[in-house]
Amino acid sequence: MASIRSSLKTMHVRALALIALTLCLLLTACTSGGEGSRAALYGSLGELVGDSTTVILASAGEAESKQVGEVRVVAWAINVRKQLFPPGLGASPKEAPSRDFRDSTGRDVGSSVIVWQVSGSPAPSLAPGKLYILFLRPTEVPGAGSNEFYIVGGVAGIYEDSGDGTQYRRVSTDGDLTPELLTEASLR
Amino acid sequence: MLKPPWQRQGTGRALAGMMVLGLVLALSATPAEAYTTTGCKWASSTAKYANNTPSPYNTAVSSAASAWTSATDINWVTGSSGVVAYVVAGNYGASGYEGLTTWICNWAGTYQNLNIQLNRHYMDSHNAARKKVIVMHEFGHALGLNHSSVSGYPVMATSPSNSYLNGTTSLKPDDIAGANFLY
Repeated sequence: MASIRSSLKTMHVRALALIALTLCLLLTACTSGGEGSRAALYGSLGELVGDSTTVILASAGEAESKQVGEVRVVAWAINVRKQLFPPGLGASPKEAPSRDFRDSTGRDVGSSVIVWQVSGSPAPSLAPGKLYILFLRPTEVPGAGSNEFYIVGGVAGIYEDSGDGTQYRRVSTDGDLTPELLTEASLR
Repeated sequence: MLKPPWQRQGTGRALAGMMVLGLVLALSATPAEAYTTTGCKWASSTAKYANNTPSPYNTAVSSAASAWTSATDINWVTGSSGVVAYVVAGNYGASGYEGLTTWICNWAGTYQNLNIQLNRHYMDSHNAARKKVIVMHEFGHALGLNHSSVSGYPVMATSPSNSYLNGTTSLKPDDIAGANFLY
């Protein structure tokens, strides 16, 4: 009963937010924003890897907004080019097209995964077509698919291609003490 | 003895230079990484919230609102009409965020809508004091404060849990200064 009441309240809040946004957009120029409380800041690459079940080199594809349980997310289709962690599983899909990629919990990573970003989160949105090194972990949301992941630390686990396809730049400006630049070799 | 014009001009320049230097030093003495603001705020110093959370979160929410009200010029009150910050708690999974505040504000930077989401995936296992620090942080965003990287583990640091684990259980001077700057 309590969960039904909670769901109704959540729906009520979302409906009000939608009405407010629509009115605001119709009547005047509005801005929207979001900020959050990071559960943890990472003091090293080892800590970031330690919270991840898989690290991939991948490109971002299409995104869709969806509701899963109590959370509204932007779900990105991510094309895995190479799995960099756990050790020993790293291989290019070209080299091993039928390879069954799995993370450290045994979850299937596959050659395409879904990566969630919470709607309204302060983490910068991924860009379609761009290459990233992504540190991932299962969403742990009831009802989520087995191939759906969150980015570790919201933003901490995003490294974007610096332009030359060999070095990846840390996106986080939250104060994480992880390396500013990574290469594939950094994770071997 | 009166100095020749070129020497007087030099003295003037030196004086002006010293004044500029003094101004630069005075400005640089201001903490560069103290509180920052989001650009949105309430229309007045009275801010309304609706506490739609279950126990024990409802207690943490009330305590956090009281903490801001008693330490700063802002006055958090519960309400259901007008612009209201809605506080809910749910299982949003391993998103990396213990709490999230989202808002819409108009051209003047005045809030039109606010939602605070507390992530039970992380917070269910926290004690009451840690829950309160995280909720205080979200209420800080709901006031218009952004993250602060000032030293001393303020509530408005990027990770309030990290501040709590380093001894923070109440608002710090930088948090209070930020709120009082806005209201």
